[in-house]
Amino acid sequence: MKISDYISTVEKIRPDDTLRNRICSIRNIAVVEPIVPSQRKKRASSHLLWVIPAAAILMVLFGGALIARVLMPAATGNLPGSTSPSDSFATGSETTILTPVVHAFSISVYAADGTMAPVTKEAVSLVSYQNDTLPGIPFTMDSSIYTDSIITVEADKGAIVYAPASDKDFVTYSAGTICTIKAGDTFYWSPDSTDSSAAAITITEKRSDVFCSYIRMSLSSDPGGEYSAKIETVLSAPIESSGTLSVSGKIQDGVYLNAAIDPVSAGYYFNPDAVGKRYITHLEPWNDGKFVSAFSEELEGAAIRTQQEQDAVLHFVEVKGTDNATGKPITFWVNDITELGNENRTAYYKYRYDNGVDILIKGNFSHQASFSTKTERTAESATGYPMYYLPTLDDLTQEEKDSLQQELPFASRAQALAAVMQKLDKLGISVSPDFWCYAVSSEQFPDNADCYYFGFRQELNGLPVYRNDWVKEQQDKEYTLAKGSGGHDVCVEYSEDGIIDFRISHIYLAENSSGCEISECTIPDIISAYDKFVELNGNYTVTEVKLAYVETSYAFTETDYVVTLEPCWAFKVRNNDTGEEIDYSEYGESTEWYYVPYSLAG
Amino acid sequence: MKELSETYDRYGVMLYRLCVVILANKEDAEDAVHETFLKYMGKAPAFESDEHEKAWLIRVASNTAKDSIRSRKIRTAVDIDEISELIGGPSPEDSSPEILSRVMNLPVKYRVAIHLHYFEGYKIEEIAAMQNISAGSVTMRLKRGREKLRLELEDEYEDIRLHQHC
Repeated sequence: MKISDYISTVEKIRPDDTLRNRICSIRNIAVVEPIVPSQRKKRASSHLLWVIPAAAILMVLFGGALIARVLMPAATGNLPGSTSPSDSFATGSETTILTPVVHAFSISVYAADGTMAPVTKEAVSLVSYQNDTLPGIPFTMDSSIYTDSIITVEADKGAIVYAPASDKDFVTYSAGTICTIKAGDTFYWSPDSTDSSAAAITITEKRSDVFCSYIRMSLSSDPGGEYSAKIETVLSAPIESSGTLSVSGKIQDGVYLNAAIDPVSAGYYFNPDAVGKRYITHLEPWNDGKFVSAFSEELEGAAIRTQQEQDAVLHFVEVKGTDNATGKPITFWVNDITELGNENRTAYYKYRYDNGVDILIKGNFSHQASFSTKTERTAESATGYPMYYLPTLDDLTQEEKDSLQQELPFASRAQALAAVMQKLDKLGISVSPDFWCYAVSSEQFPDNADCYYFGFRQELNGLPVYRNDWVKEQQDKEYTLAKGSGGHDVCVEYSEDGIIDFRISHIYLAENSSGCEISECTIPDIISAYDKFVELNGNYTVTEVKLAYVETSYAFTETDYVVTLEPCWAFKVRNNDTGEEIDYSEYGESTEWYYVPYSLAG
Repeated sequence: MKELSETYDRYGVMLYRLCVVILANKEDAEDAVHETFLKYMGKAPAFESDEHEKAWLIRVASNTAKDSIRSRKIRTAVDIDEISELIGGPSPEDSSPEILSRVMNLPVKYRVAIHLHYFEGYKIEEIAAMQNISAGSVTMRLKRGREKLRLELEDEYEDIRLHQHC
């Protein structure tokens, strides 16, 4: 069978005009509120308020149900557009720095030969330090920068010397002190009595408090005391509302690139503060596909839990690695960015880092973005698209699952779990004990590091949260667990380098929690539910019963994404005919639904 | 919000085809599309773009169609005559009903993945986002769906990518 046959066949399918008429007659439909089951026996009186990090989720318990409201940022209308050549970095040769075209500035020095020369990737010998005539080595900003830019200069050693106006005296800004200068002005760097044989000067340009350019320049002196300067880092990005992530081409060694995404304005910019720091960032459907930083090293132990906290933290897309020269951890650099997609699709950008890690970013964020931090797992994809990551549990065969239970040489599973749990504890994330763990070997899954791959469910009120697709039956109004969605919303990879991937779909935090009245659920409730299950499914034996929260409905409001979580009995069953064990987290095929009946608790 | 007729004219056929592939039944597919537009009128979020709107509709339609299957609580039998009717009564030599039948006999999750990827042209990551599953799961579903269908894709892929639909 050829796929073209399928396409040509489906193209023959067309609805009757009656369907159009039927739909076009829809009028004045009321907003549907989250559903509360009608067969509830008892209603809990307590209300819970939950907050999810990185943008708050509010959850309210109604009659045993948790209503989770996911705040989404207001539409901004300033989504980045497509990249045009004029918006992009112009890439130079292998030996020159990237020359930012948009909103970047350059810096010039008086070179040793007496000419004004731009500071570049290549070291430029500077004019001799004229201590008797100049306050230091002069640097001049170019005049192309915007007049409303705020430019700050800071040195880590020595001092910046600057006269705010021609008729003003020089002011000395010691190391670590920020000096604000004007475009076109000259400032000076002066060594001090301590070791100033090497120093770094950082120059940052902001407009309306939005970062737009950054240069890090190193100075070093030879034994004769003659200084030279070279650019170490250039970061720049457009800040116009119509701009996009204007990065393309190869970024040279020595240049850090950290893409920071402003979650509020949905704009992009680079932030020098990202250099050398690690942020773990991922998309959030509830955030309308925008990236959210689940946690960062800096925020370890204090996961972002409010919108304010989210707003205060920049969101980066970067990869941590090891510097081959020093063996020290560094942030890996992007060395290739490819625009994927086509004219009719939202643009995707694929960032390929030096270590081969790919990150995909959807260019205009028109809907849910996706990303992966994994390279192609195998070459088996016939689609031309790379395959990412391991499949979820329900997509693995039993044979594949069995093959992933070995111990890896760098650490035992218990050791890996302990390390991961320590991280979760620091983040204040409760997970249920029914996690799964694959031992992923690079031999078995090429392009993956040897690692343990954990999947956890979060816990609320001591109950695991199943954020699966439980739906209300249209006819009998009962709930069924219907579709696998991965289920586990905390996924962690642990390798010999420690945690190398950490993703959290949602983090819940209880506020004013008074719990739900689950203790009033009785054995007959469970039996009744089981009877219903057998009635629907036939010859099964329940091997395990657990109480869990499950997502039973979702709804959108103008600003929120609201999910309802219901306490529910979930059954692990064995098919007596086949002996097959079916977990509540696994799902049957479309023609063979494994119903897990809803049984109200509380 | 746009006029409903405008939205239907843009996406109605696409949604109907998706629902047909899931439900293998004309009336059920119409009901699912109808319910999708009811939800669209009642619960649709503010869309940032047409693509956002389209993806939302696909997600809702596929979930609605799946709900419909579940509500029947029976195996979905695929009737070849009914399929012939869906595609307008093919000629005796036409293999279309058989092709559609083979796809419709796949598990729904494979059907949806294959349809969205190969017919609608969505990328794996886009399907993953729409279906709220991992890209790995989508890839696996495509792979297993292809295996079941024995699709001959490799030589045709580039052509398929260029295939544009409403």
